[in-house]
Amino acid sequence: MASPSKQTATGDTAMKTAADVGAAGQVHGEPVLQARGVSKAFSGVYALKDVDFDLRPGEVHALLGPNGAGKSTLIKIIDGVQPQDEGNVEIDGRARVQSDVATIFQELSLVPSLSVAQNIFLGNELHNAFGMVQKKKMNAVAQDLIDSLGLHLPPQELVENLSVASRQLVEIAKAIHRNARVLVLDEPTSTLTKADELLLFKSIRDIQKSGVGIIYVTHRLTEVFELADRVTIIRDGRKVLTADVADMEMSSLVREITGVEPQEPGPSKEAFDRFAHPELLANASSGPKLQVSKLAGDRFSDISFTAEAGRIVGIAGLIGTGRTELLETIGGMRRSTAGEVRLDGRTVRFKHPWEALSAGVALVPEDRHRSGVVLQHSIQRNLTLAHCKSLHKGGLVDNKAARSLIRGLVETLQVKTNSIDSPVQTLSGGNQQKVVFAKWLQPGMHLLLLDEPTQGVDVRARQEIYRVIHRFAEEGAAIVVASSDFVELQELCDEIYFMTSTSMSEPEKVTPEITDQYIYSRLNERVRESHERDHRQL
Amino acid sequence: MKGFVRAMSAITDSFSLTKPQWRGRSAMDLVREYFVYIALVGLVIFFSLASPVFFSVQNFANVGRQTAIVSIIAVGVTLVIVNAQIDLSVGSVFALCGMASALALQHISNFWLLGALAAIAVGVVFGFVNGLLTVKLGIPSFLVTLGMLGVARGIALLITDTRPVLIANRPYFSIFGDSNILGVPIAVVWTIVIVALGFLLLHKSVFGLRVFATGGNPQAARFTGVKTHRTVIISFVITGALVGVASLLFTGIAHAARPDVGVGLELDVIAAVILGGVSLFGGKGTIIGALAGSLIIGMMNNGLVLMGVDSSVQQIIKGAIIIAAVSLSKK
Repeated sequence: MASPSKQTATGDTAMKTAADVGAAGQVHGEPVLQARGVSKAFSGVYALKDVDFDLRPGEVHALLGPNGAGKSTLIKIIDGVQPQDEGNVEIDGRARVQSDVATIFQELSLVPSLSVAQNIFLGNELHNAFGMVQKKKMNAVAQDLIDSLGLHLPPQELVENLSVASRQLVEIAKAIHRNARVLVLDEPTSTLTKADELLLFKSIRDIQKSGVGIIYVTHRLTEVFELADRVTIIRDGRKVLTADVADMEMSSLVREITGVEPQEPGPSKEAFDRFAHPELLANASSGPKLQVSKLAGDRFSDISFTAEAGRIVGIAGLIGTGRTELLETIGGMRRSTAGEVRLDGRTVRFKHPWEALSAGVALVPEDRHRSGVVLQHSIQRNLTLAHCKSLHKGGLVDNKAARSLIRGLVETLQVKTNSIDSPVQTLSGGNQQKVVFAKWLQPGMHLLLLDEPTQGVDVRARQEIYRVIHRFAEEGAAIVVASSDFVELQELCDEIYFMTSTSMSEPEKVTPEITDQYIYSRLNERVRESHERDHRQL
Repeated sequence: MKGFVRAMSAITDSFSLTKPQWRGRSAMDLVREYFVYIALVGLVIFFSLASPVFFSVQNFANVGRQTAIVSIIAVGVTLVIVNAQIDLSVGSVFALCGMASALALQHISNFWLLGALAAIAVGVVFGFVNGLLTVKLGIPSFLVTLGMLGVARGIALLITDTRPVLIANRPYFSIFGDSNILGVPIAVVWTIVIVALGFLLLHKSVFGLRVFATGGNPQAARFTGVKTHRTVIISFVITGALVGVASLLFTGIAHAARPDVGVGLELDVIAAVILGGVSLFGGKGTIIGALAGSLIIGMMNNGLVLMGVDSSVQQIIKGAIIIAAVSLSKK
């Protein structure tokens, strides 16, 4: 195995462990990572509660759970970027040091204009007595390291010329060069093509042999069966189970991930009656409200579907299939490259969200921090901006009218806050999302495009948001919900389309038989079909 | 319980961004919040003690007149900075606007309004180009306006081959220069009018809301239907127009336009705006704060002269005070 000039004690241990594992040919030994009783709270709400997690050398350990379950919090605590409130994390039975854990994020931390070898050695370059960088030696050492990991990367190639998967491999090589004991792969395949995915999987199997422990976070359950030795599921901040993958089946995995959500009482009917906007009933024609045919754009193509007034249509798709891009294209944030969108029978092609808004089409974005609100501004400022059409007199905002309208919205949507002057960033995730919804609660909105409407929102707030969505539908709006939360689709929608990046299924009516398990297996089936089709075409 | 307490304190802290909340906040927090006003009062007291002529109606009128140019341009630059943009070209455009006014009066018609319109038109054109290049080509406004700083100065020097242009127009001098209204210098009247309009625009109008949203989170602003490009361009155009107005106040006093004036003016204006609590990252700031910042800059210029401080030492003191003030007002 290649070693840098300054080999540390940990590095030697890593090599020894690697030899052990290699000889035995299987996973065994003391855990490389041991987390006990880890808890973490944000603003008084537990994101993680008393979670145990262990990782054996040479193991791929899948970490699963629904959105907002606390997976990313756990990873950040293991990585050390976020301190835990309670509990401890040990590496090889000792306290963690910074280089122990390497998280390979989707936004990679490489310098694109430097070579593979330069990136691997970034910050601890090999140099001679005069401080001159020894380029040849670095390339040779990098080549040895790459070979020992079974990777295929040219050390002199610039990173900017590599595919996304190869870049991830450079990240991994860099981490192992720095004696990382634990690698965290967070949704590594979400931006990969199928061919790159196969390359990554092969490399992961080779890297396992070096004795490094791998935590693998994914929403794609098929990958768990393909790669992982064990699986840990967390839900609502608590560990549900840790088990050998060999003992699990797809259906039991889905059941454990989704769990059974407790029924919470929603807001009272009176609150809703106050909030009802009779203007919403505007042009409630009986025909299809939205017709999308053979639409193509960023990361999706050949997508057709229909949404009718008063109905809630779900679009089920895995991460990276272009769901967000589809909604943003219809709502004017992106341009389509082919196909047609019809609103009430008329062809529309919005070039900017304001065009969509003035046509009564609201695009409620997925990432509320990035796109939904201005976090540091008050609730009032955020909402006044969205509602300014009805609140201004000759260009000046009518402050009194604005405050009374916003108080009404906050009350109706049950946003929990002391004051409408509080910055949105002081609210909990669910309440922030209610503020985002309040922005679109305007007269005349008759098509709502909702992207992951309850991501990171707790169960109770989620129910309240569902009522709001239903209310919109009752008033005659057509609603399109894109979500990777299949329980949500099942609970919320009248019918569901299954989307891959190159196709859309026929709609299926939601009946009690359409469970989230069914949605999941149906979707994987379609992904497999489309991959097979792609392979045949190749 | 611990978490609850933390959540509550986060909520109380949050009020500082919007409304002053006296209870439960340390004295230091209040000092930071109102730093620019405290510094302003502090400077008045300091200079009054240091110079016998400082604390007089006459001298305050002087300060107001000398500060008018920075204050008026600061209103525009506040809009630009709240948009999360910057304008470095105001000093050069200031010189060019003055030249445009004087040349129009000399060569086309010696009617005061024509000069005024010429100055404002040049400012508007430069503001429009600044804004357009920033949003359409996606060049950071720092670079666009740095380039325009050179372009505007070059044109100003080129048109008369660096010679000043005299103005001989009595109404022009009265309207923009040396008259008083009820004892208040006309430059101060202009300042009050423009600051008041700027206040209405940024804090009371729909446009102001859009400026805050565009600077605070442009992506969210677009999703909300804000035409963020238009908002940025309009802010640059307003700045250009105000630079034009400020140049009239200068030429009205000087009775001439010179192509080499306003060098480094952009730095005074930006320092004033930042002193006034406007965030360079956008989305946060007030017109009144920017005015207070401008008064601090103006008063330092005036007070240090009255104290007989050498002009090179003045620059050092000014620079040091700006750094100290900004670091103290920062959290």
